[in-house]
Amino acid sequence: MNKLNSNLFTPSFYSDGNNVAATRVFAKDKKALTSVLTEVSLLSTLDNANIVKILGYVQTSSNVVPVIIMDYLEGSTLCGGWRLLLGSCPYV
Amino acid sequence: MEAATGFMSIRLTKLVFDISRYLHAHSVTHRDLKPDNVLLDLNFNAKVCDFGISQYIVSASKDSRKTVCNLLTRISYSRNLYAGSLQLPCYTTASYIAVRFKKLFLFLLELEYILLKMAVIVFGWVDPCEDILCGSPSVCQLDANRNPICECGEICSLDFRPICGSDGTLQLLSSN
Repeated sequence: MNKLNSNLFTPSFYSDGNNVAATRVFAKDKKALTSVLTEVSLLSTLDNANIVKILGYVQTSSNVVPVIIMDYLEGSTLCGGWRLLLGSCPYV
Repeated sequence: MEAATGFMSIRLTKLVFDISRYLHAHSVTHRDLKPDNVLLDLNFNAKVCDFGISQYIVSASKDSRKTVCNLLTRISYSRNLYAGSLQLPCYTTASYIAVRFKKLFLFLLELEYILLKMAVIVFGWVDPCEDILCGSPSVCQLDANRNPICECGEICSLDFRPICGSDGTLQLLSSN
């Protein structure tokens, strides 16, 4: 996997050939880690074409930052193009 | 590749409402729905992400109500539909608005799109700022009612140095 920035990595190949994004989660305290766990448990119960899917959650040991593996989307966010053009998003 | 036109915005708005309803049906509130959290792929299929502060609904709490009201306000303001003339109603349950007002909002968005398209075809009107000439430090911007006004850009200096043009007129140029 190629490093994109500090906690987002470029797509690698999952076993079925689809691109995936791996995000390292740097939880500063226990509260942040709890929110990550909430997100993982929530997303794993939801199955919709328009909601990002969690493909995997890896934590080798308790003191290592967990890695979430998700769908990778090539485009930006809805605001991404505006931020690129204007430097800020006018709709937020 | 399909362009992100006005029609796309209608589709994406519908999608956000659909996802909101899907989540509420599964007793989940996202609580942070905004354009930054809607990802697009190259075919403009949208996916919602960032469930960091989402919660299971225990009862219709004050929080979820506020978030939906914020979203609706944000959408209407971003499309310049109301521009402050209409106070958006915030009812007790979030899903009430999402379901009951969905069609109304989509109809209004569609109407606005059709009117805009007609204005472009009939009047050739694209950008209100197109024919406005502003002095060099200021730039043309739209106010809340979509009227063009000359305003300072981000790097606007208060220091002006008038110089004499070759045709004898006085020119105002910013120091930078």
